[in-house]
Amino acid sequence: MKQTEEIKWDTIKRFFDNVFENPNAFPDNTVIFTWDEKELSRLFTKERLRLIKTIREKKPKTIKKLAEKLDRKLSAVSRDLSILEGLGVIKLEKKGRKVKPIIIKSILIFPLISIKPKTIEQYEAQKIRL
Amino acid sequence: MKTKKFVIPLTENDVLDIKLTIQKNQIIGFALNFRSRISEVWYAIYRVDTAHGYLHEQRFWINPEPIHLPRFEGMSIKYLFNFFIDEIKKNWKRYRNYYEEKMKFR
Repeated sequence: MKQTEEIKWDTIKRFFDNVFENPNAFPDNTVIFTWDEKELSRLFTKERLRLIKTIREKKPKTIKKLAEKLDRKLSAVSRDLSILEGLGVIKLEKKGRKVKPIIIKSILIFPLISIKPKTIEQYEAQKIRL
Repeated sequence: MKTKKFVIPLTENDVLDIKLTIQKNQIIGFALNFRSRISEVWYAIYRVDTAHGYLHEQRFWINPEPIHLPRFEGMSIKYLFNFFIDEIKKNWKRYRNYYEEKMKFR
């Protein structure tokens, strides 16, 4: 666990070493995930990935329209949007009473390989399943 | 002068926001802002930045008043950036705990 934390921060520091070298080469707005596979799959569920794709491609003007396009309940979509907004993945642009979900940031993912040790038996079982 | 913004989720409930100020492809200033979601609401917990021409930090579990850090004067921006990234790496969980403790006494 402690080792995973070290890898995460080391990845962040190495990324910013590159930014310091040539800042103009990087996007103006970026979200950086240095999470392991388990954390990433917990956040980016199938439904949330579909939601992000729909915002990017269909550009719905309101949350209600987004929920309609996804064929999901408004409350469930609003909850997912709130989580993703807090983490910087999407932005909720308010115009009067209307709230438009938008994506303005580049999203970079540096997936960390799980370093949880496995026994050779567990490793073999995994290989056989594959 | 322009800025570049980076959002680094540390967990689903803890985020480090980084803003870099750039001039002629050189980083001339930064702001590091650590925030946490506590009971569904996001709170600023700790901030350090070089705005207004001097390095200062804010420890929001104490109060939002900026604390001037003169002992770092004359050090390079890159050194300061790495130093405070290390500080946040070492302390963010503790800072969040302090903030949560403070909330209990409100």
